[in-house]
Amino acid sequence: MGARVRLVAPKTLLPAAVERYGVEVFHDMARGLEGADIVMMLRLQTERMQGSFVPSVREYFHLFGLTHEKLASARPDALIMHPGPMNRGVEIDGTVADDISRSAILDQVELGVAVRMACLEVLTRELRAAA
Amino acid sequence: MTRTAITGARLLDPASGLDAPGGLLIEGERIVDVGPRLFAAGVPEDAEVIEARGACLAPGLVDMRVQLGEPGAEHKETFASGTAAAAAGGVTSFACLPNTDPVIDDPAMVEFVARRARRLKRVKVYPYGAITKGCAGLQLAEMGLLMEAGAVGFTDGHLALADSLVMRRALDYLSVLGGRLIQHPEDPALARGGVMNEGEIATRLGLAGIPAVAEVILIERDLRLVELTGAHYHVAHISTAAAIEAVRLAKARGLPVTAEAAPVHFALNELEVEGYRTFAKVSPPLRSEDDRRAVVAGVADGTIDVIASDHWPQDQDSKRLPFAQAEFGAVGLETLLPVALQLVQTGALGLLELLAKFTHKPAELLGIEAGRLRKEAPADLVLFDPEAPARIREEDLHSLSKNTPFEGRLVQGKVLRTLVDGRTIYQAAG
Repeated sequence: MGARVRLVAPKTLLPAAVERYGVEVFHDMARGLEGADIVMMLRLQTERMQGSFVPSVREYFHLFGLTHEKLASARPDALIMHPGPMNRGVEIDGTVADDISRSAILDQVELGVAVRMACLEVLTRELRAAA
Repeated sequence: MTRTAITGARLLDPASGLDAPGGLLIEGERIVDVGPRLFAAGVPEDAEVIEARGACLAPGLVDMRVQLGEPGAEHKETFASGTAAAAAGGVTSFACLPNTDPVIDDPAMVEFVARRARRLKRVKVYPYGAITKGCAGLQLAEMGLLMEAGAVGFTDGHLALADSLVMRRALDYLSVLGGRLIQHPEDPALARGGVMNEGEIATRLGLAGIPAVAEVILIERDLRLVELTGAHYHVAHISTAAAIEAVRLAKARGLPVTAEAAPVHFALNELEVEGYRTFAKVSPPLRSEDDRRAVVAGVADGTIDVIASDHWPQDQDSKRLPFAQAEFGAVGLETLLPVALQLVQTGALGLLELLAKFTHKPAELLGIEAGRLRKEAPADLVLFDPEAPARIREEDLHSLSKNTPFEGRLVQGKVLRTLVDGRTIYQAAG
């Protein structure tokens, strides 16, 4: 849809050859967020914590958690997104998540339901017509 | 500010290739001038004078592999005794292993080590962080936070990181942080139960052997993962010809690999174990004469970048036991320089080339400001006589533990004085 996409993550969490999807890969939040219009956080899946992908939640938050400090390298009006459910203090700081002037997270989660309904509608149209 | 002038020295700076008679001026904690004709117009009046009388003046030694017993084994070595031993050995900075009790796998432990060393105001001590929590080889330690707290590299100490998946993730993780991983190169499964080098001597003595291939197998696996991840990888105390060849080839291919040797592995071979001498029980074990020669050749041709003491203190109760039950390890801080000087005396390499391996080269790997004789550098210095004859005697050691395999050995080379930040912290008697 014309967007330039960057991925920021520790190498241990990234799939191999992910740059072949046409994304730019970063391992440093300040550099990855530089000039970004939208910052979309993803949940650190707790099942991932059982292995040795990342040392600890506190180190992950320290290096990759979205805080106002790290957000400062994005555009001043950059929108904050997250598909939910959020882990506050893991991938996103509570004050960033709740920043009503920047965060589109609640709208995103609400619209996510409508989008899923629309997908189901489209995908099942033919089947329902045949029935 | 106090000024100290060292006059009539043979200046040795391996980083710049300087080897000339001259002097050095210290102001406060720093070198303010150094050079061949420095005091041609006389020594500054307010300066305290140290007459070198032709002795060698080099950057204080940087030792990148030292085990302390504090915390957890203070009866073997404390910060006080370990730094006293270092000072007597001409070592002004060292990196200490994280496998203490508790393990240095938490930023607070890094700060504890830094604070203890700072309070002693003796030798500079830089902690390594553990790669895995508790050095257990399973879960990554908080290497990002450890690095920010001041960890100069990552290692699980005397334990090899054996699990290939954990190793791959550790290297992936460190490649982003920029930290260096230091591996004890021994496949634990192949080495299991072994107490000395596998071969004829072990068979004659009836002792279980550790095969030489245990070393190269682990290193070759690691090198594949280094190629995959791009992380900096350092092989500690390399001891076999095959492993040295593997590192040589990896360097030729441009991999970010460095290697280190310990004096026991270029000065001794497995024959030392005869008589079941537990002081000759070290890890990796003393190898065959062919391997020993390969270590000398590796040091000489640069495949081995660094010489470290591999200081591992053990008390009498850990060593005065049947060979199989005794602990591994040898003290090395105080014998590092005289034993290594034998490489120069036998013509394996030049004095400057040797000094490089325990001055600026390890300092670069650790990322610390040390190992150079130049203006503005910290006045961390060693004054030594490279030819003075001496006999290594355990009663002369400052270390709390006396487990040296070099007991009684005749050597040439003596540390006369050691300075850290411009202060004399050790001076030889007589």
